[in-house]
Amino acid sequence: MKDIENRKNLGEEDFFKKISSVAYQESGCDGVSVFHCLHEKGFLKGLYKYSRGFFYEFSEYIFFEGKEYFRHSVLSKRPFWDKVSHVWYYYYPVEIKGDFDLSGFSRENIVFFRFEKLYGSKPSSRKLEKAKEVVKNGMENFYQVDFEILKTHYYQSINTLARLGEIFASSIKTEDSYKTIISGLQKHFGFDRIRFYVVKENEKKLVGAYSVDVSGKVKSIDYDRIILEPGSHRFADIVLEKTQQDYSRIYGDKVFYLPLKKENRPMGLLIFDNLLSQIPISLEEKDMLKSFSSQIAMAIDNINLFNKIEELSLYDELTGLPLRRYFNSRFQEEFYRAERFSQPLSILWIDIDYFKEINDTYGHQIGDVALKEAGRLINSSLRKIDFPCRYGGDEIIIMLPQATYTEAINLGRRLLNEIKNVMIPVPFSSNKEVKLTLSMGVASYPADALKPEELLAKADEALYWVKSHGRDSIKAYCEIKSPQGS
Amino acid sequence: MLIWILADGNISKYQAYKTLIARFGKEYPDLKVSFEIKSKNTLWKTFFRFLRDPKRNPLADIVEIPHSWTSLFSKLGLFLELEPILGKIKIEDYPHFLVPAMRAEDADRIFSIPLWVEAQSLQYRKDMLKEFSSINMSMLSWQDLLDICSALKKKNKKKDFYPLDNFNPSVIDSDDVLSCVLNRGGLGYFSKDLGSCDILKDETISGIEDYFELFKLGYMPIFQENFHEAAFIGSGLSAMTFSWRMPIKIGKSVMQTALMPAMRRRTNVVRSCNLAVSCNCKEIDESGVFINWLMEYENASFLRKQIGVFPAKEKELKKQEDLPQAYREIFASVSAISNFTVYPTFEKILSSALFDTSVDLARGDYQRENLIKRLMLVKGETDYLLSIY
Repeated sequence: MKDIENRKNLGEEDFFKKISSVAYQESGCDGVSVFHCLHEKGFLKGLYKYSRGFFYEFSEYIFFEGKEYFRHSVLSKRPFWDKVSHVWYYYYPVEIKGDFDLSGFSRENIVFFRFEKLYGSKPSSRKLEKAKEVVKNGMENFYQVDFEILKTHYYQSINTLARLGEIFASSIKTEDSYKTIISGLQKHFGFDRIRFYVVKENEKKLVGAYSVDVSGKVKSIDYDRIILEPGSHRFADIVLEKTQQDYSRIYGDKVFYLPLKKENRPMGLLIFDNLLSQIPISLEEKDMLKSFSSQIAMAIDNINLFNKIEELSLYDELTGLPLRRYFNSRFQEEFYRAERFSQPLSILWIDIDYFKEINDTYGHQIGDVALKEAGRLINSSLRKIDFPCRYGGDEIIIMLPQATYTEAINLGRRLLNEIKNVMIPVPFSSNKEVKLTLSMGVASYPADALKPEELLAKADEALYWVKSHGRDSIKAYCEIKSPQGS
Repeated sequence: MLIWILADGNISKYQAYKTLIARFGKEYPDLKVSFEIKSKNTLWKTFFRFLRDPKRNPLADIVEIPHSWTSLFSKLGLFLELEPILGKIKIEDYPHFLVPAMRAEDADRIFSIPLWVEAQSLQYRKDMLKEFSSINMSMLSWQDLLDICSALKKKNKKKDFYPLDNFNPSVIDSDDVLSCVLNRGGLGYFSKDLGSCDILKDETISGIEDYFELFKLGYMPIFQENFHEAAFIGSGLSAMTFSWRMPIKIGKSVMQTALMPAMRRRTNVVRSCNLAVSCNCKEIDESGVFINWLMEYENASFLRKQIGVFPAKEKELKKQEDLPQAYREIFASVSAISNFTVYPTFEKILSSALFDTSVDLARGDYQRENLIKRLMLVKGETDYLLSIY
């Protein structure tokens, strides 16, 4: 038994293998079986068996019903004999010290060793006593096994906590932040499936983000959109805490729902399941996940905040149009695409006529309203693929992918007409309304320029021509360069 | 190289492997082979642990699996395709019912190879059923079986006597009950297109209840100490048993075999034990050498005889001259237990529901509605899994 004492890292299986093989040799029996006593359930559950040189797991159950001597033995911790047909059984209960939780052991830790003798007389008492001594001494060391496992487990948990904390904290700056969170959870906990839903407050919906399976494959589940109202779906009820049902009771320990909240605001829902493997989700795992819920909710909040900030930095608050920085990156992409697929791309450069005068005469507030109205009009007149931008001051640029200069001119003319219907009321002034007009210049790829910066310069040139020729008009670069235009 | 073999009620299996590995060692002295015994439950957990943390939970090079696990675990990437390792596998060598058990669902590639086959039959001691000699045992209806059990129970007052032995120490599993479901005219546990779980159909529930009735009436032991090998029937404490194995010898005579009650016109159920090479295999070529060697007639038949099972190759199965007539009838009309992704999980869920019901029964607290409630959960979970996997 020195081996057992010396081997602190012996796992449960190896531990019982060692102890039962030595007990088998000492006892002179035909087999030694190890049972876990599930007293509250009223039966013994077979764990391991050593017989004829083989150690193996076995799944025998012995029910106490009608066999009160088992209960008596559990309570008194005394061994007893049993005989069924030609087989003698000697049941030896051993209480285990330590606070372990292996193989679903309960805290009432009793293991039965069963010595089996086929045919003939009972095994010799002297040999049995020796075997019992082996078992008794050996089991004294069980706590070491248990302790080592708990210790390893503890360190793993600490590690997991630290790593996940880092993941959640850093997830805000990635485009795939939700993916990062769910992959992190899967990597460290390892469930059959995790599903991640996020609350979209503006839509009043619980929207699927990602799911990840046991092999780590992440899939988008954005098709899953649940109305966030009590009674609409059980997920909504769980998130809104409007359910009386205990779903963990229905699905046993195989599914765990983790609603995510921040300051009582529902942020999302994580669903962990082990339905495929049927391996119970442990209480320890649930507790750990619960302790993470506020961190995850905070991460979601941060992600939302980050998205909002990003939106603010990319869009002009006044007109709702994208800002120059955003335009520049999109323009490069679109220009590259136009080049690659040999498609036209036009730029419409717009200037609000006499904008400086409007500001100086009526004040900046009226100037802001003028800009806002122009932005609204432009936003509502474009195709989905068109991309407008407040380029600076009163200058607005519209990028028109797949549009020739004729199509750009048509759009411009429409805008020129529609802006004339815009009347900006001016309080405390003799002029009750301000009317707006626009000047526009157009340049097109590939007709006018073959490089992005060149294309912008040509559109600007066309605009300058309009401004210097009476304003409230539109001209294409190719027109001003033609004999009639110039 | 390491092989994990499935734990078995028959210890001869381990002895047979030990002998075979020693023989292999003589023929291939450079190749070291060892084996460990794993219960089905532990093997299952180990596979999933490996998926979660492969470094801490390595797999053996070769694993023995129930054939119905092939699809699930090859889909999850745990098994290697066998033909590049073993060479061309002649599918035509295997009976038609085993071929789907070698592949992943919807795939042509082979991920496991059957080592042997088991077929469920009714076995009995002729000496203990003398008074029923006029009855053709292979023509038994379920009611006939109950009548025989009742007569035997009345006649035999020995302590621990049960007309039917229970060879399954974990009480009841889904495989055992399947024949009873088929007896009742059911198609099995699933709809034909495998799109939904049919566990709540009347014939399925009645089939399950038939099996439980054997325990309820005290015709079969439940949660009882299991004997070393020969069990109750060997010591004359039972006269019959449902067995997946070849009949054992009791004294000088071999037990008689009959078709499962009421199975004459139906499809009999078989299952196979397959070998797979794990994705974690460190000695792939050596594993191929060992499996090919083990599949050679002489070695495979040695293993089979020790365990009391049937050959997995068609020619050998047909050649078995000493095969009792009942088995000829069984193999004339068989289908293997399903092999699709969700089936092993379904098996686990159902077996757990059956276990809980057995506990109720042992406590004298059996209620039909509790069984139905459990089966409803089985259906709910299985249908959900079918929808996503």
